[in-house]
Amino acid sequence: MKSSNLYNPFTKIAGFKSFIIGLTGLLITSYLAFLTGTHFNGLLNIDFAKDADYWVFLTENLSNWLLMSIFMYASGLMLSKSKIRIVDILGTTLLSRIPLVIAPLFRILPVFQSFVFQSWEMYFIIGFYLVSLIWTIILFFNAFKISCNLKNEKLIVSFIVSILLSEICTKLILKIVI
Amino acid sequence: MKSISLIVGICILFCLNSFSQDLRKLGDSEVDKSKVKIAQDFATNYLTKSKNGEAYKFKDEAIDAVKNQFTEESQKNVYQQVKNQVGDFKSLKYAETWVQGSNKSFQIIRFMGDFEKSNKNLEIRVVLNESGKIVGFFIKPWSDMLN
Repeated sequence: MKSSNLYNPFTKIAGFKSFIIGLTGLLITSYLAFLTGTHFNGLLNIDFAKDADYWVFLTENLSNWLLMSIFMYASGLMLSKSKIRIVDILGTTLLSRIPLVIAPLFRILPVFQSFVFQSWEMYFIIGFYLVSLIWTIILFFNAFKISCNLKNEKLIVSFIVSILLSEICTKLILKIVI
Repeated sequence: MKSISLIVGICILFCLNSFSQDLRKLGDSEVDKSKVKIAQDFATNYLTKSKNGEAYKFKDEAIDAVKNQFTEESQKNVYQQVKNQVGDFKSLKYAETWVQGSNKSFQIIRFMGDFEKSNKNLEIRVVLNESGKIVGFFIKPWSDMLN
């Protein structure tokens, strides 16, 4: 397996195939998040609390993915001259979220289920979350680049705007729904 | 080079661990059930009374500082604030016990509280001293990170 596939698998997997693989990943991540109490309330946030039902964890993951896709799609429609397929955006953004499974996966271990604030367990989990977050953002970027066929400033600025808007809207929606 | 990195890593972990206030979560077999019962009875009675608009009357289950802090007035104010945010108290369920210090001088007993308007459980925390008296009582958002 080429290392480039780890951060840009979209030249090989896209469309409906990436949608199915990504959706499976999102459902597994949400279930593990529920089991371990790992909240993804926004892309750039993680919280540890076994305090809610499965639907809360699923809503957190779904809302961020959908909003990210909507803003990327809107950016593509406005800025790209190419034809953009919504299934490509939905599928590749779903696939990009797979690394987020790392933190809840670690939290299955008893030592990470509940711990003290500022303990080594906390820093360990947050450290791995940051690695998975950076990986996810790189995947998002490549997904956006390929699905919307954007380049240079247009690509970078619209990507940052999409991330920020999806983050703000996710927080607002989760505040209303949950 | 690798061994230096390993030593530095271990030192950082020890330093980080020293921030954690010497707290330890008790395993199920280590938990003193009688203390959990004291905490659970107190928290349930307190919150049920508050829900019914009454004030909880302390006897000898708490230290004086707690009795002085939880006046009739403050009990009503605190419950009203909680009710405004998450609705009325419904029930609570034991979650876990932590101890502070090697001699288990303080027991932090944590319950998950269910409230009418909230989709998330809140933490109801009762802290007991060595003699089983209540030295702290808190209602806060639940977190798996003890703070």
